[in-house]
Amino acid sequence: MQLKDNKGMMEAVVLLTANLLNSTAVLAQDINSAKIYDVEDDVNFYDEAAPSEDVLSVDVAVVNYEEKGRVKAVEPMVAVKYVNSEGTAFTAKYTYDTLTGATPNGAAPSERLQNFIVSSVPAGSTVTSTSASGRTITRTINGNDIVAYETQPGELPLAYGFKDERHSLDLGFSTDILENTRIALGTTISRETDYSTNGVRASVIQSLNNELTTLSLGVSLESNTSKPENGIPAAFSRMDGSQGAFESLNKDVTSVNVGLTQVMSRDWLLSVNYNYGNVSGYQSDPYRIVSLLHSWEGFEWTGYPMEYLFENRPEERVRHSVYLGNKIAFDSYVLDISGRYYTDDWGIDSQTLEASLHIPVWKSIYIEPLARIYHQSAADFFTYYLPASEELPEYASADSRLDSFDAVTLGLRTGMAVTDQLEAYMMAEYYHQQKSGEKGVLPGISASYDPYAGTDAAVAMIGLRYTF
Amino acid sequence: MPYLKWFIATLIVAQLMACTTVKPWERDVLARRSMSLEKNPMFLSMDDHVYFSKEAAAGGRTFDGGGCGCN
Amino acid sequence: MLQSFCFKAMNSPCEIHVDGIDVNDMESLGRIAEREAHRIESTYSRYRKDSILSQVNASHGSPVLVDSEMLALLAYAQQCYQLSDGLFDITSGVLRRVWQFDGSDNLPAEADVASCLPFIGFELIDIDFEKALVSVPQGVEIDFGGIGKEYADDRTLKILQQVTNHPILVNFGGDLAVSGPRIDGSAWRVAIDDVNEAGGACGALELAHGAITTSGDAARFLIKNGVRYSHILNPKTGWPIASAPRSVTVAAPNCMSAGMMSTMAMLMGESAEKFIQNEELQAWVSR
Repeated sequence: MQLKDNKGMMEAVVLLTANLLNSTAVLAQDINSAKIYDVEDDVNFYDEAAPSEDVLSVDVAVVNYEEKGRVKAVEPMVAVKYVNSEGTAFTAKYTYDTLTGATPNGAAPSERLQNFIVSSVPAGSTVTSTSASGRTITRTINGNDIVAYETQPGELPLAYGFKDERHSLDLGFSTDILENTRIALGTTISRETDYSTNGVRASVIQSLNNELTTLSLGVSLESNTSKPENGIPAAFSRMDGSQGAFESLNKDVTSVNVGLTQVMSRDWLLSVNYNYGNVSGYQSDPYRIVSLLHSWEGFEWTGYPMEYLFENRPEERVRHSVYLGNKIAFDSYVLDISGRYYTDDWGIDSQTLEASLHIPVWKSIYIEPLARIYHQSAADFFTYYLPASEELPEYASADSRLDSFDAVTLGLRTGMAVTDQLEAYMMAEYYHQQKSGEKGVLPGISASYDPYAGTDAAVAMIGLRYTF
Repeated sequence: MPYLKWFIATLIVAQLMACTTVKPWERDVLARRSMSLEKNPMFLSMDDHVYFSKEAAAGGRTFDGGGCGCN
Repeated sequence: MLQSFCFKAMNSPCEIHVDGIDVNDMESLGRIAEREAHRIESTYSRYRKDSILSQVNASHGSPVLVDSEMLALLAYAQQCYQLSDGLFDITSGVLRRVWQFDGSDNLPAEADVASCLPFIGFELIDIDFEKALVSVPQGVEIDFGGIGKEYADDRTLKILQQVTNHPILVNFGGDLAVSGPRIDGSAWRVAIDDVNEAGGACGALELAHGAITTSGDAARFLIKNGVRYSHILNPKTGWPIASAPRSVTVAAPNCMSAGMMSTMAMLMGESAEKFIQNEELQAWVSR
């Protein structure tokens, strides 16, 4: 063989060696072993490494949320993720929410029939209302058209016919700015009939130690505007249907997140996160009231609702949370255990513990049972009612989200690779919530009613992901 | 003991740095889909939304903003 | 689960890694690999008086009957001798008598080196391919050291592939060959040792197909008056190639090609990079 200009030697050598190795090929009987060990060529889809570059994936999913006898929501969503060959990622997610049903209005149950006025306008003027479900009554009193709804004796007051629509768009972008440094930027926009949110976020992620350690620092700023149709009522003003004192009010949330992920061993990934949040502005629920109950002892009327006053929450809130998460692999099983401790200056402390086990099934499916337990203490200003015999406190709210309770979630997630590119997934969860600590006691004749307003919920989700 | 806090923090960091004996080329398990922190982001965001609307606590894995009027 | 089996052969640490089998099967596969490595070592070893190679080297012109494997290897060596314009020469082993690369400054005398030259040259080997007879004149010596380890590497891989279809990585003293990617589809990740520090890794690369070998002078060199003499000798002059790289790592479809190309790159001296570029090799040069 001749070469020209030192080129082509590689090809020649490769050919020569291939011939050599084939000509001295081994005959099976030369090997003192008859056993053939076969690879199981069914490695579960979820044991494989996911492609991380040059990926375009689209998710379509829908969530169904239901609280027993209360709020129902259906939430379809579409998400797109594109990562180019250098690892720069773009994400976009659009969510549409429709909520219907009833939600507690904050008032306490009573032995009496209760009447809650939604709006009161001079008779004859046009009344448009966001709630229209047949549970509202319209009557004319003293020259005013009153729209109101009733709660039967002994029932927890719920505002019915509450219907809302929400559109939300989230965009994200992340890219490497240095070999081991990455930035991530994002924005969220959400619009409901009476509420809108605009937010931006930015993080820096630094990987160290040959990518075994990742440190991240992020900031998020969010501006929220509450603009109910009937205006925002002044704190502790009476629920008499009159137009609220403010047309709209703002709330700003500033959040800082510090995170660490660490490869602890070949099978164990640890995450630690600290989150600081500062909320400033209008934080009350413009629709929620607190019952002002007759609380002087020994009267026939003790325990009866005298007024319904709109709640008042502080304008400042500072919160901290610390999160610790682990993902540990045992063969093809993965145990995910995490905990979070939360505290804020409204007096709420909470602890969360969550665990799930990823179980591979056959070649392309996994099931993942999960369990979560949650506890929170009540906010300092949480109360089931306001006693009329005492001075009004500075702040008060009867929102069950601020009550002390324990919650247990049991759920099952599953995913299935229908083809190498199409994944189907489902999830079902049941959330059980119950009062923690001493039950609230209402005064006088209302003492026999349980004012606790929390409730169980069932959530289900089904979705498809297509990866191009 | 004003420096105790810093001492413990450094100790924890040093501990974390020292505790891995994973060679950079032994990351096969961590690369699996089942070990990904974002195995299914749709599940994670759904959970976040549900818990945010029912509970007072927020944050943890990510930022604690809500993006909706439900809390 | 990745299983490994280690043994020593050809003066090097040898490792076999197999993905996804259990410890007992690994033991069997390891023994097969060890047997083959030792077989090649003893067949082509200069040191064993009874090996075919030693018999040929002691033939003093009388033809020795050899087997088809020896013939095939000689044919390969001949082709490489021609392709490299004489730079790759399996008869250049005699130079080791005058050169000791122990890190000292003991350069041999010019006369000593010159005295070896008449005994170097592939054309001095008398091969009758049809009759399978080989002989060399007195003073000429065939040395398979330059290709033996790579040949063993490729052969061992081939044999193991006939016994199992699990992914295999064969590593004989830094010459690696893989059967293909690992079970989960990912590449085998390999650390590259720093030329300067024994035991220090200076990077990692991924190998999903083929082989990778490194030629280098990490331990074998001479230094005199600040000039470093690598152990890569030019068979035509008897002296080290000037400005040889400290090490060359080449990736190729099999170990033998990778080894031949990394040796050739070293032999190109200061033109190593140009050679690599011309040949469009996947290679890394360290100077």
